[in-house]
Amino acid sequence: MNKDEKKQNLKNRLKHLPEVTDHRSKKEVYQKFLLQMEKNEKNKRNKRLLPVTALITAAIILILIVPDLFNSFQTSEDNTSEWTANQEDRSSVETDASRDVNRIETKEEHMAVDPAKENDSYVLHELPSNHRVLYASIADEQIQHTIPFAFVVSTNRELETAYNHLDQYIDRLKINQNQYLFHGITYQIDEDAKRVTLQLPDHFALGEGSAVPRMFERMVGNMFRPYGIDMAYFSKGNKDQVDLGALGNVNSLSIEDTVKYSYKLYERNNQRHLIEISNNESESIDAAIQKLQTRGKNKYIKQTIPKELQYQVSTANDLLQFTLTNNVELTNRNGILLIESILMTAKSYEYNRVKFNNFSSEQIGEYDLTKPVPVPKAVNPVEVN
Amino acid sequence: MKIVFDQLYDNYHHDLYQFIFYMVKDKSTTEDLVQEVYIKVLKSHKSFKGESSIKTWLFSIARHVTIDYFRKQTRRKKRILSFFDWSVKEELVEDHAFLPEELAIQNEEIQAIYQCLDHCTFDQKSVIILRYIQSFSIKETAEILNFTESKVKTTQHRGLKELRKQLEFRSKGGIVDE
Repeated sequence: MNKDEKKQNLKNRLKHLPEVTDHRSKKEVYQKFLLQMEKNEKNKRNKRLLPVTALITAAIILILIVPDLFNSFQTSEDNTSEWTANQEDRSSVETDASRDVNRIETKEEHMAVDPAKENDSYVLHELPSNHRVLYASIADEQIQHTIPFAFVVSTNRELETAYNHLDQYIDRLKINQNQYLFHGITYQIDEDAKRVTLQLPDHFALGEGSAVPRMFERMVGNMFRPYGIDMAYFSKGNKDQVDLGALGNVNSLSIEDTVKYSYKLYERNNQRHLIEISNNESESIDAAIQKLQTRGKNKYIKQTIPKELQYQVSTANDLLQFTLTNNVELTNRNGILLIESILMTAKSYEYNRVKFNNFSSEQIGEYDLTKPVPVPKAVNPVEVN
Repeated sequence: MKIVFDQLYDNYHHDLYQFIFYMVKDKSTTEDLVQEVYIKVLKSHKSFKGESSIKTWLFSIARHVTIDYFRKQTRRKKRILSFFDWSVKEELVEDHAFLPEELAIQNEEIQAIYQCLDHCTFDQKSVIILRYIQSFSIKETAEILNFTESKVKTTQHRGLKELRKQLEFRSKGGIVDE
């Protein structure tokens, strides 16, 4: 058989590939279509409510900030915060948290809670053997951005058991309890089936408005996506349907694709962490890195690239190149912050390595800048004994 | 809306389902993507300018929906792989391990063609499905893919060549690989 005959023969065989049919009825297809349309419309309506939500959020922020500034004047104002779960419980935890904030002013205590112990690092490159990472997030005090944490736990402990101790691990961070939305939740994790069930406590409520529910959804994703889990199920008491505010009455949430982030510095009460600033899908890696050079309106969120520093960004496959174009001296501390915020931002954009060029020093902290630096395993690590 | 849906369903549902199925090779995913196509089409049918036929317009939307699906899949796989350090091949093999009943009852030769289609690029696969499984003309295929007619011919030629190469390799007992 010559080439042309072979080609013709293949074309004929392709035409004989079987017809694959949809066994659903027309009515069934239409019903499913209508349901999806309705769901999309609902999401759209929620977006329209955004300005109202913003106003409510602003009010909540005011309520939150005022007691924070005047710790000793802790009042019942917190109880008016709609989304706060179990108001009475929270109020007492709030008081404890305020005391804790005062306590961590001493150096010893600060060292116990600061995840960046050596060389002021904010990331985890190597996991100690027989350890794994437990992912969790808290919100900033304005409930706008997420601060992720990587608790390094022993593999002797089942993942499910470790997650059921999450409240205790979070307590070590000495944060304001309003920033942690998962208080009292228990977890059932089936690692083989890639599914997690969150049993919500009776007092659990995300309130009206969509900001807090959306953040909750994002945090659930951040916690379980790294394990390949793509669906989270919920229950409360005996009910399998739970009220997640603007997300509706749901029994499950699909864990969406990773949002892309710029990682800036969050500095408050002597604690320094990298914070995730979410970017639009259309924002490129260049735009994401540019954001690292700007200060936000939130006084606790700071730039990680000095304003006066000039640079160029280029990419090739999984490598991002960050090249300085002017001569700026960086302290070790600022250098590490710059490198690690860029590494995490690059990771979020699915780059695996970053090459830092034209730095005045070839070594900053642990980083050998003569070679591409691999992106870290996790951010804001906290060792749990 | 029901009238437009009825028209689309009656005239194109079968072809649309078949096209998406051969692209993604999974019935449940096909159902989801077909639904997504209907939503996009019904939302924008008023703005349809009639510069091409409804059929080619519908299929070009189906192609974009399929591209989006593959992009999301790639991102998801990358994420999982980077965390668990599994090999890429294991993931890919697992995806298409099952044959639908329509294919399972076919002879080995047809099954081999079905499997070897995955070795073509996305564009080559689109052209081959549209031209030989859906029997679209070169002009219609070009409109759907937003290609020139000569690009359709070149892509078709390269796709068939790749398919032939894979089939010959397979018939000699080779393990079909990337």
